[in-house]
Amino acid sequence: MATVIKKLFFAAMAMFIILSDATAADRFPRPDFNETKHTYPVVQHVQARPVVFEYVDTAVLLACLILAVLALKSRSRRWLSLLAVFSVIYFGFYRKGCVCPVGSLQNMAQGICQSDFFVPAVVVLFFTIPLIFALFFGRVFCAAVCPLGSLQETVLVRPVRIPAWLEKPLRFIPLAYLLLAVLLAATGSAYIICQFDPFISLFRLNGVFNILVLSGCFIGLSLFIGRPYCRFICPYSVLLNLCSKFSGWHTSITPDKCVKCGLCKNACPYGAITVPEKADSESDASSRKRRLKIFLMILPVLILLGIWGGYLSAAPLSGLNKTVQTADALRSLQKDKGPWESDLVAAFRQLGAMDSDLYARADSIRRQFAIGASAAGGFLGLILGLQLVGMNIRRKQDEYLPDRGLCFSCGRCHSYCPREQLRLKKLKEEKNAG
Amino acid sequence: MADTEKVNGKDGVAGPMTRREAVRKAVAAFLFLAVGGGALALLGRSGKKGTVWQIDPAKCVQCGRCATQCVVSPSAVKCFHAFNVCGYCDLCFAYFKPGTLEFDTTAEKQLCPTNALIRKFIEQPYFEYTVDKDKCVGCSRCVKGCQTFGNGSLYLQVDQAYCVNCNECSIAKACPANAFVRVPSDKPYLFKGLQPKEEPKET
Repeated sequence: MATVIKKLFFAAMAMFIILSDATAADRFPRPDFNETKHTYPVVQHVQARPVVFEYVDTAVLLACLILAVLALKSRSRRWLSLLAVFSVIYFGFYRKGCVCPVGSLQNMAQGICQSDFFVPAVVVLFFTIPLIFALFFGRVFCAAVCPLGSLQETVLVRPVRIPAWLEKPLRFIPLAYLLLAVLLAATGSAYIICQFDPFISLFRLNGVFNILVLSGCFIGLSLFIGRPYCRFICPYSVLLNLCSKFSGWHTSITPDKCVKCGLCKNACPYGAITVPEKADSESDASSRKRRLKIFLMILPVLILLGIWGGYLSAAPLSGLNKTVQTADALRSLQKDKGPWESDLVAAFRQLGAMDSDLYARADSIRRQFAIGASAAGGFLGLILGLQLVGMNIRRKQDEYLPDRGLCFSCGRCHSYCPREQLRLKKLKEEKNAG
Repeated sequence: MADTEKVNGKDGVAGPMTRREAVRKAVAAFLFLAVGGGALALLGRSGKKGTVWQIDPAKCVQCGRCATQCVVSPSAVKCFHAFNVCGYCDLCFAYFKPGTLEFDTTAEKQLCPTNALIRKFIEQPYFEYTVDKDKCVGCSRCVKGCQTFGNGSLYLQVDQAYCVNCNECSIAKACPANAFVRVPSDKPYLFKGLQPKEEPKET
């Protein structure tokens, strides 16, 4: 009741002021300070960071990537670790995690989908350069340049292996997260990757409570599980994974002959080393063929399920959009459902736009969500199906190899491979002799 | 397939190109063109000048989201004061809660939740109000009071001392009035009122 009276009082005051024909700037005369000759205080405002530094950041990114490639080429994990520490300090603590290539994919998505959306040059460069490097050298960006990855790499003290039955399904989260983030960004609704970045609050030494808790959880996990964010969350990793799969100069465990000791597989905390596969026995081959047939038949079902799921989730997802929220609030207000005008509606009223315009815009955004979410769901189903099919296609492989998509190029396997140690020793001796 | 010529998985290092290697190269080239092309298309639009986020005071409706939506905590949005617009009133609608009858600086009478608005006596009947930026959370209560009943000398701005210039401002995404705009980074503020000779100096 008190609030009602207060609101009425405010409304009456407002009416009085409006009727007294005063504009906001001159209701009260400015004082002349005859007595004290007081002068207005001078406030100095901090200027923004000059644009030159954005290009400095880009140059540092480029330099770090080149250094990472060189460190991998010289097989030096020490240099990679030092570079990782530098990246955490520069891109993390000094630049406070912004601009980061992981989040920039949302700007790119919105920029591509909305022709009037402004994407700063530095954001485009930060998105593109790591992908181009991944196309040539694998995920060197993840290895020691990404502040998030480098941080997890640095704090990993006692890696625990995750069983394959758990790891394989978890690897789907990044793709689903990527599709969701792109959908929300492309419709101009929210940038969830930045909102739920678990390490940014550490870099900024500041943040809201839930994110601080999330941050703590992820850092705790990273002590025992190798790069939990990179492997099971990071949406940018999907793109890097794709590019890295086709990289020409990806690092190898050893250029020497593999003796199949399997030490590298034990050393890899990220489960990124594939084991040699022997030829199938007759019965194995037939059961494989049967499963392949079943999964091929399931594939269209998975796609349809994905489309259906996506279509169903479109309506709740569109509720994250500001325009849709405003339209809903206005509609329920007009139906006398809402007790008070929400601030969204109040703001909309102040803008002085037509109701019908708002409804039309909200409807068009809802349509975008329906189409986008269905397409994303279908795509997720397709990839899931293809993955199941792929599990039943045998690839002949007679040595231990890094999976180019999953490998973070951390360089651990180099020092664990006995052949590689021999080779490096020989190289060193030759160098000393010569 | 020239499997015999494979040198430890590095297809085609020594021998003629295998089919797998050819496919790899084709896909890599396609991805390179796609990524590069997309980047160039967007780069053409983005221009060379740097930008930062700023609040257009004319559009701001003081909804209070600036205090809660910023990735920095407390928010990088701070209250700015255009002193030459201010009436230096004793009864300040930005300072006192509505219904206040005695004008003293006790906490329960203040509108500001963090005691960031400081009231100083100048001469009868004038009082000067300044903002303590470190305490201000950008909740806009004082701005609303001043806007509704006073001269409107208080207004919200993104303070570059606190803003980390995210690639996309999370408050802008939540702002109901679309008051967040990108401005050139060499002129990062949208000052209000009769803008002063005391233009901000480089610090």
